[in-house]
Parts: sequence; C-alpha cells; structure tokens
Amino acid sequence: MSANIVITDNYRWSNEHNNVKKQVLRRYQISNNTATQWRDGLAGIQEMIAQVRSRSERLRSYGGKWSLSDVAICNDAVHDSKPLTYWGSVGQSSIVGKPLYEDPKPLAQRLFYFQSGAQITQINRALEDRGNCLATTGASNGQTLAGAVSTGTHGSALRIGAMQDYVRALHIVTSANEQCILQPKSNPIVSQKFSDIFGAKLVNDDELYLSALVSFGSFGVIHGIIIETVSLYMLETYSSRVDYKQAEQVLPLLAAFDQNSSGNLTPFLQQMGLPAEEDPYHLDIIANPYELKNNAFLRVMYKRPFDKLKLSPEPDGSSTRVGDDILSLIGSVADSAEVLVPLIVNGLFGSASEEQTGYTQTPRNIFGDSTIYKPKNGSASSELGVPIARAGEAINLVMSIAEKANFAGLLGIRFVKNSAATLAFTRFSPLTCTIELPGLNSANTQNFYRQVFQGMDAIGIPFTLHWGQEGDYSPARLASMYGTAVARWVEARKRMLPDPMQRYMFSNDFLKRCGISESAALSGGTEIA
Amino acid sequence: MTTKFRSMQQVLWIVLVISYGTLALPGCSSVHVAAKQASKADDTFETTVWALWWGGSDPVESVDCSGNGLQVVSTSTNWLYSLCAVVTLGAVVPLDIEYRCTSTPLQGGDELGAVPGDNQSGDHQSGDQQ
Repeated sequence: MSANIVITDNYRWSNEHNNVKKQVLRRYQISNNTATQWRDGLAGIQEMIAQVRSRSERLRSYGGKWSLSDVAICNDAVHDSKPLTYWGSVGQSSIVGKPLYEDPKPLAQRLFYFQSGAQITQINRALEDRGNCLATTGASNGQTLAGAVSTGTHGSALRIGAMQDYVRALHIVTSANEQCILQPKSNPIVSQKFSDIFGAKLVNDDELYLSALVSFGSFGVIHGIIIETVSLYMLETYSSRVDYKQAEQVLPLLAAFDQNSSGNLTPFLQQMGLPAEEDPYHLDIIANPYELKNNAFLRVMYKRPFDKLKLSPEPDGSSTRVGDDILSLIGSVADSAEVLVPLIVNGLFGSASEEQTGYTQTPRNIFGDSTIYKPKNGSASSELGVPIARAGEAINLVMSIAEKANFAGLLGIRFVKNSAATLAFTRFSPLTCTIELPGLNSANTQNFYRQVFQGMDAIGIPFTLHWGQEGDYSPARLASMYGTAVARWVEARKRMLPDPMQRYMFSNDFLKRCGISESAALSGGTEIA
Repeated sequence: MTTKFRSMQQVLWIVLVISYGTLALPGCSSVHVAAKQASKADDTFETTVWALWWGGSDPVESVDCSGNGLQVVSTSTNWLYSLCAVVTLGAVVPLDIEYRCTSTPLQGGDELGAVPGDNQSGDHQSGDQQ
C-alpha cells in the first residue's frame, strides 16, 4: 500500500456515544500530501477500494462516529475519513448553476468543496474566517460533513431544512477506476471543467442525486461534497422555561407555516413576550417528562446580519451552552445508576434551561462543542419525524408513554423544512416535527422506544426515524415510513453501482436489516460439465 | 448498654450499605480538560499512572499526536484508587488517564484547480486553532 495509507488490523471500533461497538478486520486511514493537495487522498481511496474488492470484503467509510445506530459501520474494512480535510472554493468559471439562497455575496464566494473528513467544527471556523457560515447544522459540531449529510442530520432552522439540503454536488468514488461528480440535472451547479480537475465523470441525474444524498455510505466512498454556504450571520437567542401547555400553542401555527410569509408565528411570539417582527430562524423545545410545571424549555433564535460590535461574549466552554444538544446532557449522566437518573436529569434540565434574553453569537458558538466524553455504559437515542399537523398528538403520546415507562431521558422537539432527498427522514411537508428521545442505554429505554413506535401505529400517526439514531429499521417499517421511495432508492443504487459485487462491497448489516442491501446473486446451479 | 450496642450496630450497617452502594456504582468521578472547538482524531488512548512517594516520583506521560494538539485529557479515579491512597497514607496514588489528539487540520482553502501561486480568492490559509 502507498505510504499515505495506514492500516490497523483487528480494530476495535466504537461510536462516540459508546452504544455501538464492533471488532472490524481492518481500519484504513488515508492522508493527503500537502504538496499534492487532495490527489494522494483520492488515489488512496481508489487503492483501498481495489484491495477490499480483491478480498471480497465490505467497506464502509465513517466520520465523526456520531451515529447511535450501526449505519456507519461494517464488520470487514472500515475507512476513517477524518484525515481527508482538503477544501477549496469552486471558481466562478466552473459554476453553471443558480444560488439556493438570497445572499449579498455572489455564489462564487459561497460555494466550497470539502473533502469528506472535514469536521463541522473545522468548517465552522474556516468559513467564519472568510465571512461565511453553514446555513444550518445539528446542535453540535462533532460530525464530519459527509457523515452528517449522509444520515440526514438537521437543526431546527424553519426555512432551511436538513444539512443535505444545501449540498450542491457529491464526489463519489465507486471503484478503483470510477469516480463521479454527481449533481441534479434540474439544478446543476458545476461544469465539466470542475469534474475534470479530479478526472471524474460528471453525472447530472435528479433521481441518482436525491437518492445518494442520504445513503449512509452505501453508494460508494464520498471523497468530497460541494456545499452552498451563506454570509456570516448571528443568532440572537431567547430561551425560557415555560409550561409545555404554553409552548405547544406554537404547533398549529407551524402546521400552517408559509415559507413566503415572515409573520407565521407572530401571535405566539407576542403571547410569549418575544420579538415578533419576524419569524425566528430557529425554534425548538426541550421537554422534561419528570416535571408537570415549568417542564419545557423554549429556545428561539433570530437571524441577524453579522456585526462584530453586537456579539455577546463567547461561551467559556465549561458551562452548558444555550445550543447544547440534549444528548450530551444525557451522555454526561449515562454512567450513573439508573435509579438516580430522574433526579440528575431534573438538575441538568434546570442548568440547561438558563434564561437567555438576546444572547447573540455566530452559529459556530451557539452550536459548538458537545460535552460528551464517551460514557462507559453508552447513551441511547431515537428520533422520530412526524408531519407537523400531527405533532401535537405525537408529542402528547410520547410524553404519556415516557411517564408510564419511567423513561430516563428528555424530549427534544425541533421543526425542519421538508427535504427532497429520497430517504430523508425530514420528508413531511411543509415542516417535519422531529422528536428526539435521548436516554440511558438500558433495556428500559429500548422498551420505551418500542412502546412509542407501537403507540404511533395504533393511532395512525405516520412517522419516520432518524438514520443516525436507534429504532425499528425492518423492511416492513421502511415500507410504512417511505412507501415507494424505498424501491426508487434501491433502483438508483443499482444504477450507481451496476456491478453486484460493488453493491455488496458498500453494504453492511444495517442495510441488510433494512432489506435494502443486495448481495451478489448466485449464478449457475446446473451440473458442472 | 444493649440499646447503645444496637444503635452502634445500626450505624455499622448504614456504613456498610453506603460502602457497598459506592462500590456498586459503575461511574466514578472524572475531570476533563478539552480544547475549545477542536476537531477529534479517531482514537482515544487510556493508561493508568501511579504517583508515588508523596510527589517524589510523579509520572510523566508522553503523547504523540503527529504534530497535532491534544483535543481532550480526562482523568478519573474510583473507590479502590481512593482506598489505595488512604491505606498507603498517600504514598501510592493511582489515576486513570484518557487522552485524544486533534485530527488533521483543514488543508488548502484556495480555489480548486487554480494554478498554484495564482491566488484568486485572497489569503486562505486555514486550520484548527490549536
């Protein structure tokens, strides 16, 4: 193997939340060479694929190990993408498309190519240095861009969607000598000139593109991603503890959310004593099932043009931030005895729900570091996506089951513009309400998740499940969640990877469980002459 | 006398129950020092160090992060380690240490495909602030 490829045999893999552990045959780590920019990294991926294929093994790239399911891991060969961190702008002469977002800066100053291992925390800082930022992220910064996109990671930006929704093209390596820049035919972004830089084939195809966007590494190894960023902005944040009964009054307004109107939530904002001149950019609710009063934490953030003079002091890093992801809160108590958890969660909920009135910072500092440090017992989380029109029913159901099941965790409720990606779990229009259920990794928690899925089925609320979290990923469940989109995705994968051996190579146990994996069919069967 | 003996027994039981409970708890105290907004490398390394003779032989751990910085250092102790320190009157103090390096900083930042030296987008050096 080349010098820039480091192989670790019999590697013990575990995710950041320590609830998925695997002994894998081999881990590949491939680095760039400064002198050759991205070239050695790309060549290394091709060499790795050739070796894995010659051994008839499976291969899965992973990033920040942020997923709580086994979506990003296989038992054979794994590829740690994090050393691949090359990035650059897409020159004006390569751009053929129109911007997704209205922005004072021209598209050429906002369009960037990132290699797959670039982590959100790195991207945030690099973009901020250039006066740009990501339109939205998850609540934390530990993922790689490719990992976050491939599993449909989202925040709660009402007009943006999930992270895959600002991707403009994917650079995918499918074999030792095949790679492509894949972009939608209906809205392409780069010309042949750009794909020629990499020696890649330019593929303009809506169905392939939308299927590959959320495909968990099963369409090949993602070498890079072109994203459209936006001019740097600030988030002016307001957070307060309220009764959930008060907070839920926003749900009917969100159900009628009109992307062309800026005053969808005015009555609710006025009622809560919040700035009401325009809709917030971001809105979420954390609900605590252990309390009856003051049991919700309402966070509202308004987008403001960047003005250095109006920034609040940066968070010091040692305290809970207003944007902290609730999984971190749970993760930090996951090593405690289960019986103590309600007590500790109540305490953490109290500290997390610090009142904020106008705290203003860039997204990098609002959605910054997570406070998770590999809990020994692991943490667990499942996340449902439901149509916004049924969100009230769904949340009430989950709250009542949580109470009965003594669920050791919190509810994180967010609202995301629907995504066009074929298997996006934020697929419900106009907004998908996501209900995250982080808790201790215990049999009780898993039982609670099952009860929630059964309860949703019983009252006929359609729902999806976040690919990077835990849940029921059986073929029957996939069919009820995505309907005919599953077959379209499988067909698209066949077109992308026409060789059955390729499809086997980029599959894993997760795909097999979902019923969307295809191993090479046996041929022959007659007497050998 | 019998009453006094019984209350002493009760106290002993309470001490035993608390001690057993403490032992049975899976988690113990830990301290983390994390670099702010630093990217994570893949591996976390763990080791147990022994501080001996009241500071006379303090351990020094050498860490190879391939030129990158440390992302996090965590120390943790447990009931047995504390007992060891007490029994040896502080002469032997074990401590568990975990650390993790930062990952490769971002590379490049210029226009892709541009001729080297032809910097069309300004100065774009970037990377993690270590």
